[in-house]
Amino acid sequence: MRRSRGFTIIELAIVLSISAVLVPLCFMFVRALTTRSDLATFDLEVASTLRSVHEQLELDRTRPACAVKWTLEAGALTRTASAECGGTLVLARDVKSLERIAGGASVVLVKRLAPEHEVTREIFVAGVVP
Amino acid sequence: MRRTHGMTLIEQMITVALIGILGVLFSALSDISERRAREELQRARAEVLATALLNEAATGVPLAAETRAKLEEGLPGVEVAQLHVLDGSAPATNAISLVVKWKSSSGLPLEVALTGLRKAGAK
Repeated sequence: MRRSRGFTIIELAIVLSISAVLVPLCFMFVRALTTRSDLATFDLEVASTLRSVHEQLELDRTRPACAVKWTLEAGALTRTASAECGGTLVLARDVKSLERIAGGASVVLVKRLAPEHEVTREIFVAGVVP
Repeated sequence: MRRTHGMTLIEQMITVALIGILGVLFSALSDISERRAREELQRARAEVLATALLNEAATGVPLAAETRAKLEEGLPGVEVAQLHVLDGSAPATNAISLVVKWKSSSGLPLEVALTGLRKAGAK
């Protein structure tokens, strides 16, 4: 009776060639899914940041006596005021730029999905940004 | 007696088909979450636009065209409608409802409605 003692070289070669095709395909598929999921998370973060920045600006608008200053340092958008006026708050992180333009401010948020893949989203809030 | 030493072709095909179905399912779920996140960002933009327009109505100070254009960025096919105005006995308490409508990337009509006070005499 013939007994099998393992794979033949042909079987091994076939398995390895199929794996060589399937493994990169699976890797690319998982990577694409991860990127899309990260993008979705980033969009949600941007929406949340837009709401909080906008709400803070609206709140500050109702307190004209308060001396408020918005600064961008090391990627953090910070609002500085006295303790009676709400104190110092970090409104957003991973901020690439803050540009005061007519009637409002443009804030660009950035997220690095991979070493060579950087995504930015611009948000605009109406009002006087001090 | 015949002994099986591995999977049959049918078993292998079923396994590959199941992996394929799971892949398509994950891809579809990822599509949905991506679309919803994009719509959530658009909703936040629409809320900011509606608030700015309500502020315009409350203060009587018109928004600059450039400001409005920036606020409408990212909202394809945006339209602003004045839903209704509740005329109270005192003009200063008049309320205004604004509806901001736009189309999502999948063509779905979306809207955000906000109500605020209107300055007496403001349009």
